[in-house]
Amino acid sequence: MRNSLRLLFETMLIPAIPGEAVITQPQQQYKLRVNVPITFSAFIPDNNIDAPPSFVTYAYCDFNPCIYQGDNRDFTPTGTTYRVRQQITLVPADPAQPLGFLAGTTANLVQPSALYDKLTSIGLDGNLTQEALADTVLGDTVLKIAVGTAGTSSMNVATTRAAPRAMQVELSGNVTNPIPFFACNITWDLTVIADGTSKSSPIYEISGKRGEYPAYDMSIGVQYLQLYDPRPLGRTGFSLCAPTEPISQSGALQ
Amino acid sequence: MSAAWKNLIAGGVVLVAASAYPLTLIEREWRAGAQFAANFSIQPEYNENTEELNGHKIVVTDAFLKGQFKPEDQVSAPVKIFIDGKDVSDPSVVEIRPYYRGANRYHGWVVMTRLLDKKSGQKCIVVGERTLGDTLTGGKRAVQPGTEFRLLLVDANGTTKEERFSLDERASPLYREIFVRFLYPQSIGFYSSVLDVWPTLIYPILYPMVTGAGGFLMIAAGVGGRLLRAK
Repeated sequence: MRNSLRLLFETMLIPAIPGEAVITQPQQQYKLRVNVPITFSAFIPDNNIDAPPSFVTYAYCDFNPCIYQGDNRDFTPTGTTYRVRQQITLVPADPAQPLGFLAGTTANLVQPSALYDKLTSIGLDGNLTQEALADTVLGDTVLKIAVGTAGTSSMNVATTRAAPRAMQVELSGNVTNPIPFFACNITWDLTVIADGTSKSSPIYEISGKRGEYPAYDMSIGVQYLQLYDPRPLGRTGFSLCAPTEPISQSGALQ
Repeated sequence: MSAAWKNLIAGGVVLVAASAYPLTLIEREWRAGAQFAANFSIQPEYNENTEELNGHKIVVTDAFLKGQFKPEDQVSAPVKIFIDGKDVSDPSVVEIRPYYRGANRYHGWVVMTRLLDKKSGQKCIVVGERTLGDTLTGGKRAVQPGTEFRLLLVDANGTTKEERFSLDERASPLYREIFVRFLYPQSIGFYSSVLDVWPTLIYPILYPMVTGAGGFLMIAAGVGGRLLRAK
């Protein structure tokens, strides 16, 4: 069955993902997929970032250099590390799906934050060592000191039908660093529209606002978007406390 | 001057004095950032490891383009850098993620960007590389102490300029530091890492910002109160 579908896709010259159906119409290059998966992520490109004193939680780090683990990656559609991630699969043009999205595909995800002693955890090349990453003894003053996972209660994925063949999803959140007593948050509030009204040229639109740190990326359909990189602008973790900035992007939806 | 005004001024002076050093460092980072933004802009290449400017082609590659790799795989090897076909590689060993294409393949070690000098309008392509001088011993990376960086700046005429510098020399000229952000594994600033933290309530909000502003207000209130009382 899968081979038959693949042959059909290849014959019609439509890029396909195995197991995913594509809406097609004769004599038209209609590209909108039935399923439009969206994955939004915020990630810290650096391997590690300094942890300032908080004078509440880990006294050792109030007087000794400590660091948080970063996501240690650049923009890539297959990035597996992130601070926060939201997912949903829209079906904007499928009349069989009145909700406009696939049930069970909505996800609000966070990856654990980890605090390390800087002096014992950094190798000569500046990266966290494998020994530090694998440390399971917490609450001491060497290698990994603490691990925490932020709550997802502020994260929201809300869908509305914007038009008969267009779905709108709001991705929002205000997620903190769970380890110190108080930290400035990763903040975003985006509206994404997958619009299949035009059969020959479906489009996506992204608008809203996001914080000045960390980096943000998004996969929509088969496209990968580098939404924001703080590094060329010289922005740092300090920018987490700055007001949000508007974001606006649109293009063809494939 | 009554004791209350004196105490207010003295308290303010203590707070301002205690906050002055980090505030100075923060101000210097902000000033350097604004200066960079006024003079330069950079556009990293995330998707490819090839760039072209005015017909001049720059390629960053390695020996692991073929083969089956997993996302978590890393290999230690030198990268090859070609400018118009000419090999300008450094023998230093870097970490390569062979599964990936684009920026993530050499994340933290090699970066390729476009640099625009806003004043002159000149564009160039910059390949930045972290060169520790590491070597391969029995297939494993032998890490050498010290961090150095190498920039290859290729202008529209194909002329290539090489800059080598240490971490301490990253802010002169200013654009170097922005490349170091892509090449150094830890978030780092122009002159210090005072802004490169995950901010908490204590730092930098209460200290030094609130303490500095509060101290200044206390001094102003103390001096103002004394002057009003004198009238």
